[in-house]
Amino acid sequence: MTKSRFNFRTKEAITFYILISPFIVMLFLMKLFPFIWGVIMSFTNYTGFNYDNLKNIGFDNYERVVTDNFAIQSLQATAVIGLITVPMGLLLSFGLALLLNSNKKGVGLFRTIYYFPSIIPVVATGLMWRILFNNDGGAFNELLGLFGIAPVNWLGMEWCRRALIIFMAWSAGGGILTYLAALKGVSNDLYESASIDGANGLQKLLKITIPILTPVIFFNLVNGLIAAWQLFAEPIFLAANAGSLLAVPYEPNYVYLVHVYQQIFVNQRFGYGLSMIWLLFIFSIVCTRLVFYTSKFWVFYENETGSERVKKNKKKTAARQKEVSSVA
Amino acid sequence: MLRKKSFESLLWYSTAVVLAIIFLVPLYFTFINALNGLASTPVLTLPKKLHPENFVEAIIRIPFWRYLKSSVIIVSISVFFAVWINFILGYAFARMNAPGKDIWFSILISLMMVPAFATSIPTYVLFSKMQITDSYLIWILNGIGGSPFYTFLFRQFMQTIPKELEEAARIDGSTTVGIMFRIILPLTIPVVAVVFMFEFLNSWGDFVQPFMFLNEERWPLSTALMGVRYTLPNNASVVLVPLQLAASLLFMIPSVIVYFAGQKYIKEGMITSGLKG
Amino acid sequence: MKKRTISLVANLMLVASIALSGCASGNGSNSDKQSNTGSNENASTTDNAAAEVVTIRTTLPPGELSEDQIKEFESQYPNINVELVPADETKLMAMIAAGSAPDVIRISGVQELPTYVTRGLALNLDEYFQKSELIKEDDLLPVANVFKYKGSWYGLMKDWSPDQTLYINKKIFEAAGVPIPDPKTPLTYSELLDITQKLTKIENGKVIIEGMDGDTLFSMTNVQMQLQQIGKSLWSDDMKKANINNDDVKNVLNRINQFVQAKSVYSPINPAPNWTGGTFIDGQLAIAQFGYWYTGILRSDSKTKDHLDDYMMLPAPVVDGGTRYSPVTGGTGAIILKQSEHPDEAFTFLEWYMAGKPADDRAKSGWGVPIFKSKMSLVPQQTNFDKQTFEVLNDEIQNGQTDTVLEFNPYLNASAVNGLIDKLITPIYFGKDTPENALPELEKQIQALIEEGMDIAGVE
Repeated sequence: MTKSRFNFRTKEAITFYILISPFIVMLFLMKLFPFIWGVIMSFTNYTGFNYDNLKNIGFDNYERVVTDNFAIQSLQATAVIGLITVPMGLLLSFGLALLLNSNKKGVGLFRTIYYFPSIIPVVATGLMWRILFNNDGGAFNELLGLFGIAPVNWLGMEWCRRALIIFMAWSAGGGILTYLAALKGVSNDLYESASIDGANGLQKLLKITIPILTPVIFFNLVNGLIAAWQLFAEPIFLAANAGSLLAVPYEPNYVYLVHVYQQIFVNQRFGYGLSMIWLLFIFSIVCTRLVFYTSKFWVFYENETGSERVKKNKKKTAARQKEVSSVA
Repeated sequence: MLRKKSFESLLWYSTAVVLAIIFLVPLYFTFINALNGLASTPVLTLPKKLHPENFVEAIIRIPFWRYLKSSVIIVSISVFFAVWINFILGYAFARMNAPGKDIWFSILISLMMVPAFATSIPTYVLFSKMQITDSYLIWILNGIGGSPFYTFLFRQFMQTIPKELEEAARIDGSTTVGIMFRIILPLTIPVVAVVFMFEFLNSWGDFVQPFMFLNEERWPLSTALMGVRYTLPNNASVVLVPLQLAASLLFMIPSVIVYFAGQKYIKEGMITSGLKG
Repeated sequence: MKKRTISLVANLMLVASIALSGCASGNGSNSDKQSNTGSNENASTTDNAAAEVVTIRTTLPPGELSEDQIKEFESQYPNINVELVPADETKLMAMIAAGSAPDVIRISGVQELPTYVTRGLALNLDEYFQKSELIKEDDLLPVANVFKYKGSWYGLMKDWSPDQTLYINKKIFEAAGVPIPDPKTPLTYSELLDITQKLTKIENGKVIIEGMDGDTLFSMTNVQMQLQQIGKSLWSDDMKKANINNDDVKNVLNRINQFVQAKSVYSPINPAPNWTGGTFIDGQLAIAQFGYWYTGILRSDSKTKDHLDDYMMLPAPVVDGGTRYSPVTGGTGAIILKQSEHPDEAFTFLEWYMAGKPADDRAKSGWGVPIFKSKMSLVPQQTNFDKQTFEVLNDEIQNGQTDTVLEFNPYLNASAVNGLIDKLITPIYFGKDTPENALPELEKQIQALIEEGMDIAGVE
């Protein structure tokens, strides 16, 4: 009896590892190996041609990031743009999903229209918006001209960040589906009993909808953050001399990854570029860990942990009441 | 009560419509300017003289078919591996037991947090040092390695399939592979469709990797759209905007088709189960 | 059924993609030095050269080397085949590093030759030139020096232009009441500033007529030219130092900024709607700064070819108090790589392309100026426009110091430098920075690039 079970289990284990072997092999080949090689290279002065006489220069590349004005500038640009676009994206998708959470006729059409921009490849939308923002002949300036307003140099230094944000707001509808799915999953009973208790719309939103949706918000927040520090495509397409991945956006839109690409593809500073990538990688890990950690406090899962928390809160309030009453 | 409801309806519709107009405006401008004459100034309304031949011109003036062919190759490779490899991985993690399985699964999940550039750029540097250039190898290798997100989707969904089905099949003497393909696969069609859709949209629009790993001759449509300009034959500096716009619109079409075909498979349950898990 | 369809479709796609990628010649070029139609190495010795067919690969684009021309060459030299290989800068560098690069490389003589020579990539062609039947050194115009480095020949330009000449639209001048300048005297920059301001018409923020294009105003090329006109340079004599943070460069920058702030010129704060050559043709631009090749556009474009008398060419402008200097700033031509396996055949192709029938054809087309004195007579001189431009052209050749090459630093790469300029100088136009702030930073960054370039070239 035990023998056949043993054989079966071993067989299962073997089958399992055969099945996931491609993943394991490629993990080492295409992820770990380049990763580690890249880290090693970031400690050298590799510039594309001098592979045969590399020098170990220790942390020089990493120090350079701090003293390189452009790198610091690009960090600032990325941070500021991220601070604007992430909340904006969350609010927009959430708001639109709320609007779409209805049974009115035509809601499907509206949903398609709001969600649509996020499925169009950024190559196409980038080109589109770049042409729309054109100073002379771009649709927006033509529109302004109709009202007698002087043309705005949308792609110039003063306006390019605002143009970028407008562009990104338009494509921010990507989270709608997840919010909508979650919204539909909220049981109507909750709302009804709240109405009976006299709650108005806003209260229902704040006390019922949002807390229940915190997992989805969390999910979209993490995705939004990851997208924010990896921002690369949109600034490139709005750059004045766009046409390649090596276009240089103006300073307000000169984000971190753009600087990395410049170092690697234009200046061939592979070692330096790689060190910048690892710094960003470490940052992204730390940041996601932080967000995950804080999620304990505000994300509300509908499972044992949730009810456990409710139990904990009950215990807390009961203990406090006891304190108060003992003093009284 | 009724008045409140119809006021509320009015409010809802007017908000929705205003928003819809805002969202559609860029596409509207793009569309009408794509029909504009090549030498005309940009328009705000449908041009007096329509030039639908711009769409044909957009295909003729650049090696559109060559780019398209490359796009098809890349997308096919990516989608093929995305579906099959992750299906297999998903099943392994969902149903099989083996020592160390949980460790490997957590490794898989943590890979989701690794940004693409962290491995693609070093891989580029590595490849160029090994002098592997202008090759589709990178997509094959990436595809074989599977993708954490898709594996996760498959696994989550498969876990909702009742175990009894498998047990019954096993009693009937079916092999693991048999179970996978004869029983589980038909039931996971929705996930297959979703993965197909996501990966299609992803690889169709990916312009960075082909730029890094391929020469201009093998660029897919996405990279070509970014780097190739429609210009006058004997003057490479005059950009023909209507053709550029027409090309963008043509490029969007497959994305739209695939999205509409695939979206009915996105069951709410699938999305939320992944989030809560 | 659904399952079958999906798996069928997926499998078909895979099969198709593998088949197609197989057809698209395999998986990359793994240090394979020979191209597929390459010759057999053992036969590259001199004896049976005539029997073996050698393939010469070149990066000349189809626009500069047509299929007809290739056929002509191959029929004249049946033992040599010519293959076009497109390659942008990054790919080319990778191919060179791998040893699989084409034989004949198209480069900008002014901007790229120094780099290729100092990195030891370009083949010294002195011996070939001496033995050549088609290329006679005393027939070459002084400007051909562009492809000479430290006294040795490395290639030739296919044609050239004095790139800083000006084209004016006489009608706009007349409408603005500005007298037409004398083509025999170059304008000074202050005169130009004055004129462009008078010509520019901006209403309600919208540009109706723009004074001048500004294409060539914001670049290392232009700064270097203006410096050379007053006997200075951006680089130290040994090219190891960048001299950017000084009064001379500041003056140049301020001068350029005057044009920008006056909005009498297209610039980042006043972007052109499209290519400025096009706005000139549309009658929206009064002055356009282009080389002789622009005459080709004017002659062929339907909007301009019927009234060429409205247009006139002026010599390149001069810095106030400086010496007249009208250089070629591009100088497209070709070199042969040292690593080429077939230098003899490559040179046969090169000399045919640069000095044979293709050169005659290029001269006749009016799209560029030949490098040979003997071919100057082929340049179009039929219409009044042709004659006027030809006169200015000769004037520039005589008096514009065209034998002096515009100095480019061999340790620098043009796109890297342009990227830096975009980042550091553009804010000045927007009023967000000053030359005092930006120039030291520019010097520091460029010096860093020079040092890296020196490192790559193996120079101390």
